[in-house]
Amino acid sequence: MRKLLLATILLLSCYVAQAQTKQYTLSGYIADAGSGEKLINANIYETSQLRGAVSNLYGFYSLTLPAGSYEVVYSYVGFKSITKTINLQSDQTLNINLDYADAIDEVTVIGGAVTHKQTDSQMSKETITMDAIERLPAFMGEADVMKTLQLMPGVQSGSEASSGLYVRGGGPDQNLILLDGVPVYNASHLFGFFSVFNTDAVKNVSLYKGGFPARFGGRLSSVVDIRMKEGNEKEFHGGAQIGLISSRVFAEGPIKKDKTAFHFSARRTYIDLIARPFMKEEETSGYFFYDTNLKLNHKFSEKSRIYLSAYLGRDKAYNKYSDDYTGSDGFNKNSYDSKLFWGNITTALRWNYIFNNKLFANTTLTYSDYRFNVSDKSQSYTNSQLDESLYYKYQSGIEDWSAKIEFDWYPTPKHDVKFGSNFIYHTFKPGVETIEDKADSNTNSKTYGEGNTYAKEMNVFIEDDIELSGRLKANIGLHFSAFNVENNWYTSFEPRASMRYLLSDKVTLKAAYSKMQQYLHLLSNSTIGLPTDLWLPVTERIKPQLSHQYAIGAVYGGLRNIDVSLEGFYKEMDNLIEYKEGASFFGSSRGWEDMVETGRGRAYGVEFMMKKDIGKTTGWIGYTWSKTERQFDNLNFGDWFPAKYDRRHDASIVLSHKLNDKIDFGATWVFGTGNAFTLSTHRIARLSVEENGYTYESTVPYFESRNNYRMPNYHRMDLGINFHKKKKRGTRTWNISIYNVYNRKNPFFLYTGHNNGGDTVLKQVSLFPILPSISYSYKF
Amino acid sequence: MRIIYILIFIAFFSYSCEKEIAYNGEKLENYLVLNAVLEPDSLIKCQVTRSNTMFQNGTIVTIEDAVVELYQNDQLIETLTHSQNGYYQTATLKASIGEKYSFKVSQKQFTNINCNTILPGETAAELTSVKYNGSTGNYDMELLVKDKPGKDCYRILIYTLTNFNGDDNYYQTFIDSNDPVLNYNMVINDESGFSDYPDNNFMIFNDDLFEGEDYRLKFSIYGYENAPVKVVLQHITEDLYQYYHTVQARDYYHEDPFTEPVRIYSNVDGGAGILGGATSTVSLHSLPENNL
Repeated sequence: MRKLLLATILLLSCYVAQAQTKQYTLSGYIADAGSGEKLINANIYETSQLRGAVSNLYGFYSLTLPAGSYEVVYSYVGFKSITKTINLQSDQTLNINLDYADAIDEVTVIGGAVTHKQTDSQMSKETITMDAIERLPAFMGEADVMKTLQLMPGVQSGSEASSGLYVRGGGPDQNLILLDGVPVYNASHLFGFFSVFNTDAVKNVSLYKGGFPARFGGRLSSVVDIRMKEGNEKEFHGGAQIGLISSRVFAEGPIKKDKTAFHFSARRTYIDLIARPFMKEEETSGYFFYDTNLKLNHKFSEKSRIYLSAYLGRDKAYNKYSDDYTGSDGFNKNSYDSKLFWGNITTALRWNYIFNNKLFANTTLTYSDYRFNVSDKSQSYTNSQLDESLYYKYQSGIEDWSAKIEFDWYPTPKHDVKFGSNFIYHTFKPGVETIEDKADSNTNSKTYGEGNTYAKEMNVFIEDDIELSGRLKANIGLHFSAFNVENNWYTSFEPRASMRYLLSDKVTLKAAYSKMQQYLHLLSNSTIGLPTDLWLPVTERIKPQLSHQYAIGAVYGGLRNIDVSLEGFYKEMDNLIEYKEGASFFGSSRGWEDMVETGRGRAYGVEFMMKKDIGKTTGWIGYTWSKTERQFDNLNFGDWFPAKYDRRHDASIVLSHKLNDKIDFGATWVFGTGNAFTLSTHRIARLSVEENGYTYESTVPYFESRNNYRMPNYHRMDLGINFHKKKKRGTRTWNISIYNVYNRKNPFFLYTGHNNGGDTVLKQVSLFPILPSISYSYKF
Repeated sequence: MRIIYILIFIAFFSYSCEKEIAYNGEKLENYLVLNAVLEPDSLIKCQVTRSNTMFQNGTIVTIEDAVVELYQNDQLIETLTHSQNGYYQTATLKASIGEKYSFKVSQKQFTNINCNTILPGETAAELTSVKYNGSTGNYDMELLVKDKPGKDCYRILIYTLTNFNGDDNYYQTFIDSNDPVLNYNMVINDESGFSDYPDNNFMIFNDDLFEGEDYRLKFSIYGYENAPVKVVLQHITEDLYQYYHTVQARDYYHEDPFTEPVRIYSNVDGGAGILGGATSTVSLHSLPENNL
């Protein structure tokens, strides 16, 4: 406590000392000149001593300097930088609009002599622009945010074409996926083949793999912060895309110029519509998904702005059957109707208010709902009289209401303080089954499953991005969280720290530590993101998941427009859950605590990345060496074993090249050590005893350790090319993509079977062969 | 849920393809497997077999020329002789409660294996109630188990005397129970008919819920009025409990594609198999008349 007091006094005296010299603040918003979209993480620095700031998530910046005249540079990757001469003799507000630069001239578009990755105290963070995502080859014509993130070092996909993320040895439940600050609980369509994020609606994607700032919490392994486009404040634009499996549209524009704007986008798959004419009248079945995004923003004044963002996505599958016939007992009719649907709704109402040029506030109310429903109804009639009716319904989900307030405070040029608080009210709907059976005027109706569980989660945080010296900068923070469920309280103090040291103009050293605690567990039976996966809160018996992550690294900026980074990490995790050996789950939470074991995990590795964001040719080369293990007292007889997604080597090469205004193309190549899985390598004699009156087979399959075998290595190349043509009112683009160009048969799962000679052999099932796709889009 | 399976099936078989691949793991070697349950006042015997690798079809090979040494409290007391089908047994020596027994098995083609166990003591048990249940047609029974302090594992077996092929013999009968103790210490209150847990065909249980205390175990059996029944409570070693438990789980789940395979418990170093001990408490009774 005494140390804390001393540190506080020291920090305050530091502020006071700096406040005594005459200083003024330059503040404002940085936006895209063409659309008015605010630019996140744009750089602002004065050229004499390179003192600078970075715009926040809402494009706001604040830079306090001693009185004087300065040349101030505003820059953002992909935009032409602007230099302003500013005579700072009082506080000034200066909103800046940057022009988009075609990636032709590398000189005009550079972000600055030293890149943000070098100067930022944050480590283990990757940012991807929508341009980069859309230039890459698209699986079935659908550019995908999550699949692009999987190409980053330290991030793995669970299985073929899945959109799940496995970050630094963490599981798919350990990622906090935020859409405009609202958690998305199931980020996949079509069993994980596509993510729910429509690239038309997305402005910016940031991935944090470690060194988590104190403002984030609640998940162990990563934060995926996706920001939606706000809408063009200047003029109307729109577009449409027609692909092989889906089509999408978007529209944006001012409702009142420079005051109120909207952005709307929607997409839908249509395999069901195409297939319908080919189906028999008696039986129809199909599947489709759709999603819609809407964002509205309104500027009350230069200081006050409100945003409303909403997402609605649904996957639906159905199967209907009807059969009529006339028999000896009269006219008979049998019908069967089965429906399955799941999806998310997220809504955020956000108010930005600038109290003064050093204090920015963001207040957010959010709602998030994920639900999964199944229903089966079968009926039989004779002469219009109901003989029998059976109705089955299953519902599960999770619903969150939250209120959040965050402040960005820039007390001195050397401090960027963020603090705030968040309250979430969770409603867990862990699976309720209803069965109704009608026969001969008798009705039996039963409901099984547990009722809703309610939980309250709250947190407060404070972090300060401190420039300790010209070379040393650190982000120090504290995140405190509390969780209340069924009269149990869990709390956690989570210190966070990350720092950078500029060893030279070209080399930066970085280090980070973060403790994270997670109050939610995901019950899942697969790595492919089935909708049956069920989120459940901690209980008295199942404690919160906990992790400590340490990372060190270096960034080398000596190559022209290329950042080279090397990071090492070590992560310890506790209170992880795994199914008991043999136990399974399929949508029901009945007795789930009895079906899981709790244990610990560790992951460590080295990540290398060489990334170029600027110029005609952009992309990155990434490589990860890592090891991920688990230990559960009651699994594998207490021995450590490799996690299913333990991957010793993981590499990716991602390149896109803009040939000219008409043609650009992209290529990706990925390689990964095969997933670990359990293979019964032997068969042994079984103890010969009678078992409750039964006698079973005399042998039993045997293996010595869980996940004892590796599937063959995974590798794949995808290519894509875009042909653009300017038309009278806009630009049309043809995209041709080829997934799995050299038709590699990658393993999806293995099993032991027999060949034609009757010998036992190992068999591999692969999912996708070479898959070409084409799409047409028009934007105006 | 049917529709989920249909969709997964469609997804797989629309796009998937299957091929035979080469095994690229560590070289698979055969090893020795020993299975034995020692019982007090019985000749000590074990079966020694050879494991088959996953690529070896056919029946399990029994090992008939192994050297099987028996140690009692770490002292070599006898080299067992082969009788038949890989079974080795002592000449006259019988197992005793509380003694530690070890096997060391060697055969020139395989790595040596060894294992040990301590034969547990008898646990007092008393059949306190037998009643005919008119609604189920079964006999409801209550067995008082007088557990001692410390971790203990048990197995219950019921035999009814049946005339089969002209001979009167005791045959093991099916036991049905909703007692949590006989359901891996889980309360079975699921009326939906869906079961997420393996059956307990070995009828094993442990004393996690009643350690050091008396426990009235409730179960029912099918039988005929006045039929003689033999109630056997086996006090078994924890290793044997683990073995039965994992074998049972493997049987239950092995066809479920969504579960992790179950690793069969083994306490045999250098190979596989189980060396367990079981001490039985036996009582004889007659089923009452169906006075309904």
